[in-house]
Amino acid sequence: MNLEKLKYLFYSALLISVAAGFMVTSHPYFWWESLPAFYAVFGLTGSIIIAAASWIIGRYLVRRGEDYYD
Amino acid sequence: MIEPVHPAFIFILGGLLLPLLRNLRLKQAYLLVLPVLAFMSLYSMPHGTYWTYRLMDYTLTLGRVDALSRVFAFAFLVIAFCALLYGLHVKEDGHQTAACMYAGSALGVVFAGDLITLYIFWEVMAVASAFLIFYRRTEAAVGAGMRYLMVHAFGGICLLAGIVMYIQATGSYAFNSLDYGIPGTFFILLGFLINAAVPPLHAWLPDAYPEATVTGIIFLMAFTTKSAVYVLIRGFTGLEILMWLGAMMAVYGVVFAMLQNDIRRLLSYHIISQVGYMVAGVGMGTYIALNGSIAHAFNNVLFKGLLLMCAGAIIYATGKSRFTELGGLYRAMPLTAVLFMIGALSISGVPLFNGFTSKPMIMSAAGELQNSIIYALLVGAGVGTFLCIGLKIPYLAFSGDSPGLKIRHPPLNMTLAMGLISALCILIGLYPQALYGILPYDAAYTPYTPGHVVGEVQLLLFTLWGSLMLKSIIVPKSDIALDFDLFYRIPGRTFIWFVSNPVANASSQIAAFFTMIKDYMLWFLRNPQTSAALFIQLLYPGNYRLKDTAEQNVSKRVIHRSPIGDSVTLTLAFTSIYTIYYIIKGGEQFTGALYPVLAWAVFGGVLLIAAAVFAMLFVVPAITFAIIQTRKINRG
Repeated sequence: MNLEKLKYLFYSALLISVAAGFMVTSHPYFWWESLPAFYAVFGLTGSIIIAAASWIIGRYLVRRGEDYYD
Repeated sequence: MIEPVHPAFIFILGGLLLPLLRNLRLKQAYLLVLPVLAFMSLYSMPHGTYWTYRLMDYTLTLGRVDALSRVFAFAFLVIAFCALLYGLHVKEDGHQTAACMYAGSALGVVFAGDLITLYIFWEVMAVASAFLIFYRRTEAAVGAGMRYLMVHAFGGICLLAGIVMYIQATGSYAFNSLDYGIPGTFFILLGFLINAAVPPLHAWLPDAYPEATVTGIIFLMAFTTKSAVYVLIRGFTGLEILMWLGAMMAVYGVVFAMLQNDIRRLLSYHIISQVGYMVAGVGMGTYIALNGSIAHAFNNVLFKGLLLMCAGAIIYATGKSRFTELGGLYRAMPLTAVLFMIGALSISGVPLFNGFTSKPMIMSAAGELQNSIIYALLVGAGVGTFLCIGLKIPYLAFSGDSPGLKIRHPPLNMTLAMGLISALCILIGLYPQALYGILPYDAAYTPYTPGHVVGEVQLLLFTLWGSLMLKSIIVPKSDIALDFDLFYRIPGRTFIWFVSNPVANASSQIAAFFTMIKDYMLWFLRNPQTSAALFIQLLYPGNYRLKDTAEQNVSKRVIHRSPIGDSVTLTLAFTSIYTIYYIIKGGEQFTGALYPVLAWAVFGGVLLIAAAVFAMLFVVPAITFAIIQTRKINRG
């Protein structure tokens, strides 16, 4: 199995998971949970926000050389 | 039926007796039998109160067995068995004893029925666990271990102060729900929160854990934070601030985990995130939330233990722990890679693995409370979990090209422990009733609903997609990330500098002054008359050979010697003064008009002589000494 095939498999898995979201009935606690593909959007934006937040905190606040405390 | 023995004592005494065994195989068998014995003992006692002892005016309850303490004890015994198996090859008895005592004291905390017993086991736990860090025997480990010990000593003091104030205020020392607002509960809570590693009191954890031994960190991961979750459930169920603190720390942990370059430091930050879920559940306080916290604590010791075991296997095999020095390990250590992925999928909450059976329970509790912010924070922390453990570590450690690492294969017992624990992860994932059956609160929960499974899969797949687009961001650099420990490491260093420079200098100045007085007394008392003579020489240098005497060590040269010894002279002088004093004060039996006049005259005369002698003997030589010293210094 090469990388190209894996890529197609991955994208089809993304599509299937979104499509499945329209088919199942969920019991949402909040109105926005019942939006179509809500968790897909949450996962995508959430991962970007967390990676970006940690990058920004590291870049401007906490990253130091390994010998900082020596 | 056999009388049950307190599981804590099985571990503590068992650990202390371990060094008496001489044979390695025997020791290994013995270590594995300990948790089995404790397990049998635990299940031979029904719910109730055991082992009460009187200590002065207090009745200590060492064994309160109910559903809550039992489920935590069960989790601790499972992980103790796995961790002992994982560390079976360790040949240092001290390390194994510390591990056993640590596990035992954690069990003691879980079964403690009163605050005094709790405090005792709490402190044993802190000290025993520090040795699992010290035994790494590196400079960094000793430093981190000391900081760890200091923080926990502070936490212990807070707990003790809180307990004393609480007993003063209420007269009760039973360890049940502590009403926040009673004096002292604040300090008890502070002590608990330090052990639960709630930011900003968390920095000890990612500071110390990555410096621990490969096997020690499995114990550290399991006991301190999870027993803190237990005591929070016991004491502070439903305290709303805990819900916010927990959700905040769940996110804080993953954001900082993303920044780390050391594999075990990343996992340590992630412990904070995971404990955040549990603390949030305690803060919510509903039955489903508490069950969720407990189930998550149980699952967490399994999958986090598995992840740290795999990380330990990597460190054991390569001697490296930084991502910048690792890579391509999938080819060299395929089994470790697969087991790590089981742990990573479990912790990320992938359906069919055990994380999925407990984490959504806490989220559902937040949903039932209609608290959307907490809910979103917890889901977001789940995204971060998958990002840093499910994706970052495998991408950096297992995939890619190997930077030419030499592999020393870990011993069989380590692999066995990893296999056993990953089997448990999958077992609970497939058959969650095994876990739900032992949860203490009455709240039904079904994890595998279609909506739930689909939502979770969507979340994780799109997180994966997002991270693939952000690959360049998660590549580490060889650096460290500052954290709140900065606030005691830098002042701590300043304090050490202050003590070892200004304070030490001042004290050596004072010491030098008194040493000088001592030198003078020695010099003078060896021959008081010589010193007096020297003074005269100083005043009239032309008549005497001052230069010679001053330049040589005068204490050794005798210039004048009195017919009777100096000490005899002194004795005589003091005796005379005393005699005169006696005549005046004690002489009522003497009579006569002139007597007082005579006596005063004699006394006055002797006083004058004494003053002169004193001046000759003490003041004059002191000046002499000083002048000689000054000349010596000037010449030098």
